[in-house]
Amino acid sequence: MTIGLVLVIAWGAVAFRLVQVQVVRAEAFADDALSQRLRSVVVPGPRGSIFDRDGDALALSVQGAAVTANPREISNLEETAQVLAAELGVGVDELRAKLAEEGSFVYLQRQLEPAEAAPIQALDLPGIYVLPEPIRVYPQSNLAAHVLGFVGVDHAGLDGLEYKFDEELTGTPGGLEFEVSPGGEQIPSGRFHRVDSQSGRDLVLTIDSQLQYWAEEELAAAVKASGGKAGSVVIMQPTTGAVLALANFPGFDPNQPGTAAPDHLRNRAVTDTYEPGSTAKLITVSAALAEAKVEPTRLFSVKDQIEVEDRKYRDFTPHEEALWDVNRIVGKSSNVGTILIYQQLGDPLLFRYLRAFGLGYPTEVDLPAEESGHLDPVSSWCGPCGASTAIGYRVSVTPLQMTAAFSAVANQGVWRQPYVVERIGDEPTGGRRQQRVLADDVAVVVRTMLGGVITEGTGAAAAVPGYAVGGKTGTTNKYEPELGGYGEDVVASFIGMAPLENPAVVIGVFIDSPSAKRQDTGGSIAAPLFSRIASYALGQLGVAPNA
Amino acid sequence: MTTQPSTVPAPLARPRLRAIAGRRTVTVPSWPIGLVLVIAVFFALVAARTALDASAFELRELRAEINQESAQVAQLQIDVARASTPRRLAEAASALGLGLPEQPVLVLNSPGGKTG
Repeated sequence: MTIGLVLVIAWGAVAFRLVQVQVVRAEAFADDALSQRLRSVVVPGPRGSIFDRDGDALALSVQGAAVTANPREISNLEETAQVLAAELGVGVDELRAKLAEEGSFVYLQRQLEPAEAAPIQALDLPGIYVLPEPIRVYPQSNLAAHVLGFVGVDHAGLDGLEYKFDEELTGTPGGLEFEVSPGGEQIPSGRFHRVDSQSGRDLVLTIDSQLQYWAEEELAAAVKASGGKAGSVVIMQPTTGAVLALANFPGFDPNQPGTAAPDHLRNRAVTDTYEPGSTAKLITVSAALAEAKVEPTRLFSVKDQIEVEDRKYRDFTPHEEALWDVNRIVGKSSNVGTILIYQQLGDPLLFRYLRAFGLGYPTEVDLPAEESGHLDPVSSWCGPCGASTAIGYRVSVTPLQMTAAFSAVANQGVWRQPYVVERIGDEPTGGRRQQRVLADDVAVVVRTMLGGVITEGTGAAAAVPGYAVGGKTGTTNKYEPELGGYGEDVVASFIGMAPLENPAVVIGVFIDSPSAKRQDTGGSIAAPLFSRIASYALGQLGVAPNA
Repeated sequence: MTTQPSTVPAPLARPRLRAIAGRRTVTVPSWPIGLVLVIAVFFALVAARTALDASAFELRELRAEINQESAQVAQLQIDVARASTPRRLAEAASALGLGLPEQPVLVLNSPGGKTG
């Protein structure tokens, strides 16, 4: 009787527990069991690629690899370090230190290309793993590095277009959820759920890789030959504002941005400002012509120096007093002559045209960290400020701003906002600003004057065989904040257009601090560089010779 | 009334009964069946598990193959992009003695002139 009772109670307890497990909490237990078997894997959305105008890849995202280690599983630390050091090209000491770390996971090297990871995978070293991870590859290395920028190891854009268009380029991650056995293998008949990842959108640029390459090569050679510190070249299509090439020296390899000096990462063409000097005379003269304050043939008695209030201005080259018309003043790049023209114009009009040509505010090119340059409001100009501004001092610009200003003259007097991204995915970019700054006929007259700079002025070295070209030289002393004034270093520049009659390109060339100081002028080192780049560009763009 | 004498059948001879041993029913105990069933189920489970594991390994091999092929495709993508860079083309051209002319010679067609 007692045994029976005990058995009944025992069976009752078992039955109760059975009901509790199988009925009452069945769902919770099933979920717990499933969660132990389920594994979730995030599948990253590939980052969009970047292509040049011809569809050549400038930046690609592909599946690469990371080499990791579980230090607890490494049996022979010394041998492992030696073998891996040879394969990874890393110091043995560095690897030894990583392999000796506490914990069960350490990255040995990341962002490896498949071909680099394969030999390590083949070694099959205990405790060493090769994990797939997306990598960003810039197959053209240094080419257009300042335009492209670069990404971090997490694939977030850190500079250039990679940063500016990070949202568009970034893909949407998907995921996999599947059941695994206790051994970690996927159970084929188990639960499987997949959410497809979405690729980021590709960017198609206005950049022409071939032009970009030659611009970079020629710029690097010119800066090195002149002993300069740095330089920039901007090539624009004046009719659209498309930037065909934007080169800076020194450059860097976006595949390894960490190895570059911070100074080399700067996109100088949009982040650095300088006083434009004589190239700004284009605006002064254009304004005076547009406002009918002077005629191209009007004669001025030009000495080689002039005093405005308490400030004395000199021409670069001493000369006797002479009767020069506006064409000759521009051709000779006379400071005195330009100030005489400015005096016909006055401060408010000069200021208005400087603004209209895009000075004093950013062009809003689709690149990050663009500087706006500096142009004081006319109300704060001092007595001789207008004269200084008329010859390109007391105003600062970026190389891109100044090239865009010349593009307005090349584009029948219409200023167009520069841009480098032609399409995002399949959608063309648009909504860019444009404004008429000169009448068509005035632009033609100004272009003729710029032609005179080549044929009989300071820019003879900019001539391009077979083409009529025009442009303006500039040689500006650099303002040195440490000195509180102008030092001996100069920025030598030349901005020109070709062919002169109907310009297909506007090219700005800027060389910072050539070693020969004032002996290195825009005419002597920037103009020849323009000539070489323009010669190539016109051929590349299929522009027929016209002279 | 006459009555015919009734005929009384002679009593049947009583069969000679004898006790024979009844047919014994063979009762098979249930535990061997249970055991066989359990063993069968066990082997079925093992077979199913083995098949499952085998397909899991197959899946892993397939995945490894896919990864390998994907890596090859990725590497080819990179190599193709690198092969078409202007620098590489310029170097290849230079190796063949080709370069940009220092003094290009231009053949100009005069206005109204004919070509071809």
